[in-house]
Amino acid sequence: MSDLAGKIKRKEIYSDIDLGFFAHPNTGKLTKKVNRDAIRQSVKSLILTDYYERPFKPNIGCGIRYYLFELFSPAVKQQMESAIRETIANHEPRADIVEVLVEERQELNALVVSVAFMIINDPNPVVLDVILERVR
Amino acid sequence: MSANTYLQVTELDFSDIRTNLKAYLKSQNQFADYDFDGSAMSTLLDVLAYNTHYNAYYLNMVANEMFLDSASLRNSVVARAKHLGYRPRSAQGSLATVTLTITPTDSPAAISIPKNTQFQGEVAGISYIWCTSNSHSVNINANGVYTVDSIDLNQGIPSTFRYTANTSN
Repeated sequence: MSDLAGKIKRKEIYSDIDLGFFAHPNTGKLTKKVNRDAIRQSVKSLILTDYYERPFKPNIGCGIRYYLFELFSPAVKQQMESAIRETIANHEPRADIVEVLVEERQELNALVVSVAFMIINDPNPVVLDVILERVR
Repeated sequence: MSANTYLQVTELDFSDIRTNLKAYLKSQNQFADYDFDGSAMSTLLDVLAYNTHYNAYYLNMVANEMFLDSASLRNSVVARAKHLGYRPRSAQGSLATVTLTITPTDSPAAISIPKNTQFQGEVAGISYIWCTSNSHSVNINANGVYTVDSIDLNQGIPSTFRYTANTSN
């Protein structure tokens, strides 16, 4: 029974390129992100996209980097969470936001954005953590 | 595979190019997320459509410059005009051919006029400078007058640009 279950290929409703562009170790082909992983990658990509970053599509993005230059106050925290909610609601119809949390990590000079969302037609929630920190 | 197995290549606008690429991707089943804004496929499509649009714009401009009727750059118009036998030139200073008569205070055997000797003239109340384009020697004639014919004077002052070359490089 377990062999049979292993042979049944999981149905791929959503399939996307892996942004890491890794080659599959056996086939050498480009690896894919499917279903939950594809949507996780999409949500993360949307959070890290700034306005005017996409050519001819200035309204796609979250603008989260603008807030990194503000003092981290409860009001800014609230604005960041609202921006993330709004972005996902506008551009990712497959995800239904449950919770968005922005927490500071002073010891790392970083912010951790945690997004919990439900995928349409999937009973299990997905939790995504994105760490925002300086790159240089 | 769907019926759309060929790629439309007639569009030049970004959004139309992107729509055509999406229509093409509908004919495959490897990747399905090209319709969602956050997907990597969507990002890749944006880059491809932008690049195609960029090339289309560039080629359109190149095609414009290749014909005299549509060229807008002066260099392009000059190049097209050369094919038709025209030789356009830029604006340049006036040239005067003068007869020069000199009355010296002494009586030398000959008077030398070096190249780039400046002469000032006035036209409609505005002063202009002309320079000799060659050196000349003025001899006294039978009537005791120092005169020379056909001296070319070019409008403007020649400028020299000097720079120091480092020959060790």
